[in-house]
Amino acid sequence: MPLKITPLAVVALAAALSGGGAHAAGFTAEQATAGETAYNANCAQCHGKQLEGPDAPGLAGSDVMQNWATAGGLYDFIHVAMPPSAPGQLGDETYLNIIAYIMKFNGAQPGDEPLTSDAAKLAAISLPAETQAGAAAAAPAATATPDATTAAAATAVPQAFTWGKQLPGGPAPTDAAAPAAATTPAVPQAFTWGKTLPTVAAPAAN
Amino acid sequence: MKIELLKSVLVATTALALFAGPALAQNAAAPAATAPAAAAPAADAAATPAPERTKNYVPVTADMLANPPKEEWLMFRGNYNNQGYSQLDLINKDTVGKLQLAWAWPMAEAGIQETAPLVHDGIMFLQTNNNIVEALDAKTGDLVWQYRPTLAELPSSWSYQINQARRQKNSIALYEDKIILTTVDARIVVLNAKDGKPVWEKQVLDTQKGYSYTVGPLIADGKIISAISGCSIAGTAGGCFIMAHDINTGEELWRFNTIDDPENPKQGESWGDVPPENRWGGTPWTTGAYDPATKTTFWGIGMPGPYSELIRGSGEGSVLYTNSTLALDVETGKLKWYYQHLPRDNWDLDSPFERILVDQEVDGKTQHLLITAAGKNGIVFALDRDTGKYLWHKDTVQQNVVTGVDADGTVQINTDLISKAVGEEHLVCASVSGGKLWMTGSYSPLTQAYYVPLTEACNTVAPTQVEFTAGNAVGAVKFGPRVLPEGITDAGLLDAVGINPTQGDHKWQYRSRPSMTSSVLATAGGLVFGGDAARNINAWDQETGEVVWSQRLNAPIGGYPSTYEIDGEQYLVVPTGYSNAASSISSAFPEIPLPTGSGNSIFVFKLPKSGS
Repeated sequence: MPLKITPLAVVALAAALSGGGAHAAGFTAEQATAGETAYNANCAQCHGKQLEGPDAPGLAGSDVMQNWATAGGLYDFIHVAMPPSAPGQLGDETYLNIIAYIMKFNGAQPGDEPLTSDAAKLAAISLPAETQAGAAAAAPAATATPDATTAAAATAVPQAFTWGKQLPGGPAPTDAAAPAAATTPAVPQAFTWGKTLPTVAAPAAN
Repeated sequence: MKIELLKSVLVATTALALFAGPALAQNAAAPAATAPAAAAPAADAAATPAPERTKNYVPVTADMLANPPKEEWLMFRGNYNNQGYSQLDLINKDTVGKLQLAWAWPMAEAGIQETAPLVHDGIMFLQTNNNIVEALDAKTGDLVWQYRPTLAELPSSWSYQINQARRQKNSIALYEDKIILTTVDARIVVLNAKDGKPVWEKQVLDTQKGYSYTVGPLIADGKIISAISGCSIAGTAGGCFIMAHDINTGEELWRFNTIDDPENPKQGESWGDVPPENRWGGTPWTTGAYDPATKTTFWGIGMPGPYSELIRGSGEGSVLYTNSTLALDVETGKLKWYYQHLPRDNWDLDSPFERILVDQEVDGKTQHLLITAAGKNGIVFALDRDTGKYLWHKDTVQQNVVTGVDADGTVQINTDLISKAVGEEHLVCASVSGGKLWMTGSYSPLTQAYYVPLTEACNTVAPTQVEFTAGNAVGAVKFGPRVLPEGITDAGLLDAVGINPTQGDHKWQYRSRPSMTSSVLATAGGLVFGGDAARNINAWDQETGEVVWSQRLNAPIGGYPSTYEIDGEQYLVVPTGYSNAASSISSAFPEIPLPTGSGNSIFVFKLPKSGS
């Protein structure tokens, strides 16, 4: 069996998910702003100002979004267990605001509808879909090339044996090829970003 | 093409970092930018001062490792048998109440604290996160030297690797006049014990793939036996290794791959259709035991990745050698036997914890046992360590994963808890944080009991379908918060399991609201020392489970309490600091808020001088 390396069609996919337009992820800009303050006061000491860790697991990146799966997954965990010095004691509003900030940091776009503790609504908000779609909508320039160097470097790793297959309860294979590129908030790119540029002969692979 | 180009850049960067390592290493006790001490003639001693305190450092011999002097703590658990037992008895049931603080010391680095201080020739060698090593005068607490490595940089988006690798889970090793250190960027670094300067180092595996060392090495048969971690990080697919290197040259002598063993067809078949390049896990993340009589080293192996068989693609396969004990020939690295404590893991219930070697006389015959609370589900197993034959098992904490063990040792699991669809959720006990975790138990020959620190906890587990990225894990599940099992109000459990060749019994069980957060130490003074999230270091009576001494410190008790004797006085070392074992289950005891400072420290106690 060959090594399963998935070339990334990320951004195109994300754009498809977002319908190409602005995408509202089920939280408001005010919630995200309040969440940033609350996050920095209660979480950043261990999880990092840039959500990078390292004294506790990082909270940024497509893996993180895919593992928590939905806003409900994140809420179920943090409103019981976090922060360790005052577990479950920050109050619902604060936990929801922190989730809004984590989503925004990962690329999701705020909208008009606030995040609430309604379990069904929280479970319906897909973290990978919202963060990818939001990031793609915010950075149309990045949609040009799936195999842009940094994206490829960040994701050229083996995948699960079942990756890309239809699993019970899982998304259809095309959707399952869910994106990994926009792991950092979109930033402006060079004018030549996404274009094929001349390159020196690549050394033999080792 | 672009990928390959980038790969070569990464390799070049790694190589550079490698060369920079020793050159940039700092030494607190000696001025920076000195020539290696060994190269300096004696007359220039002032220019390159090898610390006075270690000038006459007594080398650690192979004989000492095989029969450690009772006054010292020479290796991870004090002895090749991993018993975590000290023969010292000045601190005992009668005197423990008089313990006084001798000295304390803040560790050089924050982060998860899981250290095992070693003591030899009056020097304490203390390693902390990010592989900083300090030599301290074990009597006075004075710093003798410090070694700070320059570690390979990783992209900040590789947050799982950075968080996991940052842990130095346990120990370093001592041999002759050297210190053997395994690093978070997958190197072996050998230091001069007299001044902390690097003698040689070797990049063992590629840290840019995800490899790191989080456990210390074992020195046996003139070899450095080490086990790599990071095998649940995407780039490490297909290989997780226990390895042997020549202690003088660093030459690799053998390696054993825990998830791909071509010499045993059953091993490959147990992964179903999944080829080695899509297998992860099998991390041996607790330092192994060694039996010099049979030249066999025993290691526990962690979970498979991805965690759920739905995502893993391995069907009903048992996914060997995950969650197994491996007995390896130390001379060749060949597998003598294996025993799987949890086949077909779907819940990240690692089984890599301490393997303890116990000899017991029964009817004039010596029984060679291996005992272990092997995995996060806390079940204690006894095996015949010469053959790998299953003898018995005993449940400790609440668990719903193992339904029984057949007479031939086949472990039966609760298949109702296996998710058949993405997002299908089950409540599983023990939790991903244990149950049992890295905190090791101790075996006391006095009582023939195994004292195991445990946590009562459950969590939900549901598979997710995740595209992996570099530096991040392949678990692909969503975990719920750790919660107490129904009907239980105490998170903490110290279980004293009486051991004999035919069965295990609960000698006593000590339960407490806060979780246990340190390894335990048993001593010939009839005591067991260990600590909890509430910052209490306790001494229990080995016979009764009564707490006979308790002292509240600055942070959750952590790491590996140990003991040593100098000038006729017995000392007790207690590490404290930030602990995953505390933070993961703190919602179970909200009335005891955890500190938010890391607090990583050691506290050293002793009895007052007689007559004073």
